Amino acid sequence: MRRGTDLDGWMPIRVSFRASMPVVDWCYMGDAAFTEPFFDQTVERRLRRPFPLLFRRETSMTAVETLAAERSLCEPAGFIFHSSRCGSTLVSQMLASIAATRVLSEPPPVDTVLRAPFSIDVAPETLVSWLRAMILVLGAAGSGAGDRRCVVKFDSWSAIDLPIVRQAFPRCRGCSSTTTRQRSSRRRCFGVARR
Amino acid sequence: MSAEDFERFRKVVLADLELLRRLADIEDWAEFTEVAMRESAQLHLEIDADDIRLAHQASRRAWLERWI
Repeated sequence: MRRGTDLDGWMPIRVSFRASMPVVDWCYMGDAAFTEPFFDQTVERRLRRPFPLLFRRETSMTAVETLAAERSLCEPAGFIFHSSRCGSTLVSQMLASIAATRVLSEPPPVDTVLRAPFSIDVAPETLVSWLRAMILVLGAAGSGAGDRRCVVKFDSWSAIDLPIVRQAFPRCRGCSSTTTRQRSSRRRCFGVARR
Repeated sequence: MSAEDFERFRKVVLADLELLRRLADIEDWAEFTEVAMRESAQLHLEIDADDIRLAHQASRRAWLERWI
């Protein structure tokens, strides 16, 4: 019997709070490819299978940080910030069509981490550490048919969290996607992911 | 029928990478039920189709109600 104590093939799909601490729900994604427009849709597809639905793991956020620290995980190739109804899903799907590129579109675990201060007391540096670890692990979790680079599209309201994202990934590039009207009033590009 | 045995089986599977992968590859619920019953019997655990059906319903419900 081979011990299955590591988290190979497993991916955080949800973060909740219990006794003022984050609890991470892991799902066995195996070789699932992130081809659906949104992260949750890929997870939903996976949860139609018996094993991923019935056999889940729960860990602390520390386990995510440990995993991110133990493995030399690649930083994301880029981030997408956007306003709603602006074509950002088209942008993310275009990027996802590039070979070996995984696009994590609005992953709830990332959003929950960013929203953690609304649920629990968390120090700013801890929040940055959680965010970095969660994104690194999400980008690398599962085999994903050989994904070698990862792009994260945040929820629209996460644009306000740009300073936290920058602290977590100071070298990563991002772009914002807005409608023409929104662009005329504000433009918030900070470099464009060119890969 | 034993929900406790199903929980014990779950723990054994999560600790056994080969068994885990064998079960994880199954897409069909009927086939999964058959394999899970066979594997659990080898571990002297009493799991039947009803246990798996109830676990299926409970897990599906918990996932759908995750935002509530």
